[in-house]
Amino acid sequence: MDGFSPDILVPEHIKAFSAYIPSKPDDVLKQLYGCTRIHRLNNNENALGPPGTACAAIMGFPAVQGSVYPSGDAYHLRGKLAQRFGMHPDQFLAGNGANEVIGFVIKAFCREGDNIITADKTFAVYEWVAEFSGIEARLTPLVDHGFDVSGMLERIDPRTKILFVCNPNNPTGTWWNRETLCGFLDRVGGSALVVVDEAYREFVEDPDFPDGLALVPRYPNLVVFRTFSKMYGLAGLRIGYLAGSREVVDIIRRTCIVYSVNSLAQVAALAALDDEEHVERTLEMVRRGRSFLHRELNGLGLPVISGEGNFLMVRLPMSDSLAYRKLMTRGVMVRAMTGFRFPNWIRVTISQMEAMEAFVEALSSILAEPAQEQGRP
Amino acid sequence: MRRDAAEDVFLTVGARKGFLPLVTGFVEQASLCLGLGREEALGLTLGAEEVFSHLCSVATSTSGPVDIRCSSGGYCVRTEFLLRTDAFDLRSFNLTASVSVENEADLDRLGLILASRTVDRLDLGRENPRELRLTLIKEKSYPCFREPVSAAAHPLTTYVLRPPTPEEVQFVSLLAGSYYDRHFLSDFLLSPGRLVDMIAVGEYQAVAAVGPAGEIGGAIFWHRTGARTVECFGPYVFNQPPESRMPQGLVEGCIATLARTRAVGLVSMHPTPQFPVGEFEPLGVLTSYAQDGSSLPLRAYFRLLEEDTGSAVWVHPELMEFVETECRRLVLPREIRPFHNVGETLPRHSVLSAAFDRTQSRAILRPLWPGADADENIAQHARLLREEGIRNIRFVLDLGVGWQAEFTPGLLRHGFRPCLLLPYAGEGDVVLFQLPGECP
Repeated sequence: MDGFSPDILVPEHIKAFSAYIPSKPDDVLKQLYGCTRIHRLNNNENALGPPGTACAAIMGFPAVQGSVYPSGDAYHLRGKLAQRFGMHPDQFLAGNGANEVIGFVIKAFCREGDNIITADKTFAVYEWVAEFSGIEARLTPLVDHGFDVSGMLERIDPRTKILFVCNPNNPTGTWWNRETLCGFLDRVGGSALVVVDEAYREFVEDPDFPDGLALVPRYPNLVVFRTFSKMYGLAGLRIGYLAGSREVVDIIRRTCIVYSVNSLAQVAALAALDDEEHVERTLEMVRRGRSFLHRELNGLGLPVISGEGNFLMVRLPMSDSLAYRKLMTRGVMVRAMTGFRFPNWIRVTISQMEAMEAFVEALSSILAEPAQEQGRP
Repeated sequence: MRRDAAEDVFLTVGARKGFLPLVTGFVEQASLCLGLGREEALGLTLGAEEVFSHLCSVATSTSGPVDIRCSSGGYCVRTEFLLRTDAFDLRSFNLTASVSVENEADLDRLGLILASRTVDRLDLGRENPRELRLTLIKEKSYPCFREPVSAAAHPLTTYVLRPPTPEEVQFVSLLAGSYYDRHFLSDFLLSPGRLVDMIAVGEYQAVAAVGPAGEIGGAIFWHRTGARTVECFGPYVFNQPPESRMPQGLVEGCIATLARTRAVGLVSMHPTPQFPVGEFEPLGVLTSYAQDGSSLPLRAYFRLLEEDTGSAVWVHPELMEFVETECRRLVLPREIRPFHNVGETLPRHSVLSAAFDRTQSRAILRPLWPGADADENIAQHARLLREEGIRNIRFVLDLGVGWQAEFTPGLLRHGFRPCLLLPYAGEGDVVLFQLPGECP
């Protein structure tokens, strides 16, 4: 065909948007950076892997099942979640990772001219999905590294459809307690949907941390996101879910992609829920790693933001993107935080001690380099 | 640049001399309607006349129509000629096409170079494989500060970072003139009305540090220099204590605005003394030659706004050492692929595009098309630009485009020196060459 120019077909909000370029596979990165192994401390994965129960389920998955479509709506998983949390199966909706359910909610409730509200320095996907859907994302600056209740409420207008709260917040680890969350929900009233993303909730041990699912009966406009990617170590299988009132979930279900969650992910997630010992082992790994990093990073004189979740943030006396590259040459992959609007900060996944020690050693050697090599003229 | 496309005006004509009055009338009337003064409109019209005459003289028998668009850029009017590449002999888009600069009689054939003389900027670029875009830009006339007007600022203990209002932009210009030597001030700060208009259309952006009573403590400005590269100016900080974190705050405010956009790299070529160099990477030094013959070293600093997940670059053996050294120094994960002509047939004639900025006495050349005459073509362009009195002659080589490597030997042979490797500033990294030496 001659003379076809896709540009004329592209909406303005897509033209302005830039595609997210994910990291290359480890084997390619190792070649490019000249390292022999990579400690993956960039995606907040669980270094212990999936729970033993899930591993067994994965190992036992019959290969022949690969030719059969999965349950289109994760039937058994929803049943188990309902049983576990004392809710109805129709109050749950599974997605190909929690990222996918963000899209479901925005598609279900927003149209051109509407807006969503979230924080400026939080998980980027709420903002991205809104913007490439042509929906305005109103960003509220964090206060003391936490979501700002009044700042979010002030931005509500009649076209506000959804408020996204990341609790605990990725990347700062700050969180709203039960009183703050309920107060926020009370003040929003029924004017908009409130989505509470609890991707890291299993890492929080404070009893004052609110259980979003328990609040759904009281707040029918509340939608809770959870994932199997973090605590349950199933990031590679892509499975997460949302929960809310039956009425709200029924609306969201109309925009969801059925069959998007594969059979292996469903089987593994189902089995993962049974393994309480895995949660305890992971929490112990995080406690130990956090304590080690605090001590070492304090020793290096580096400011740290460390809340809840299996990660913490470190401020460096240099560009985070340069630090990323230098750490990569030493086999340590962290998250450079400019993209989270935290220039010169990196986020580090709290992992097993071998990786923590490798990170500290690599970072120490970078900081010890002469100024010229650190980027100073 | 953000523009109100509803105000754009279009003309589509065949490349025939008979249409010349129509084209000049169109450009002149459109320029006036879009806000240029009479003198500036005349300059743009003369430029368009030269371009269209040139197109008529080089059109082939199968030439299709030429699309001409006039649009307002707020502080300027631009006239764009959109051309199908298969309708013209591309060689004619070299500034030097059919020209012998030693021969005055040939001057009437210097279409594009003549056009560049009557406008502020001329740019020729490839829109896509099938189209060329030739752009003429003429700016409105703005008053400049001839003598510094004194303004004062006070130390701030608390402030917020936010985009300045137009009035605040004007005041920042005054403060900058009061607190900084001339060589720290980019030209745009000397013409605040122009700067306000450029910010209004999104060509420049700014963040200011503003106190509780609206006091201005400092500011930083930036603008896009390519699809993925942004250049920042400042931070300008006015009468703040040396221990103040305001400079870092302003730079971070700039970066935070650019995060999650298409920008991949942030460059500073005009750092102030407060610029936090430790948070950037030194790229190298360019020399800026002024009209009065003086020169100033421009130290370029850089930072990526994303994690670098690696890429491949094509490098001619003669440039290998430079690229390898820079990639090692900047810790860039690159697969460096040697590339040079090994006897394959090339087109006979290469094409270079030129972006002129007469206000900066600067021309930036880029390869548009490979050719066996690359060496000679570079030499001719360098000679012509020198004759034109252009003092800053640069050449951008895109290492992401393999065939461009073939221009390397010619560049080095004719005196161009590689100054900077700018990561991801083109299809891949680019190497910026400069023609150093004597000013004419």
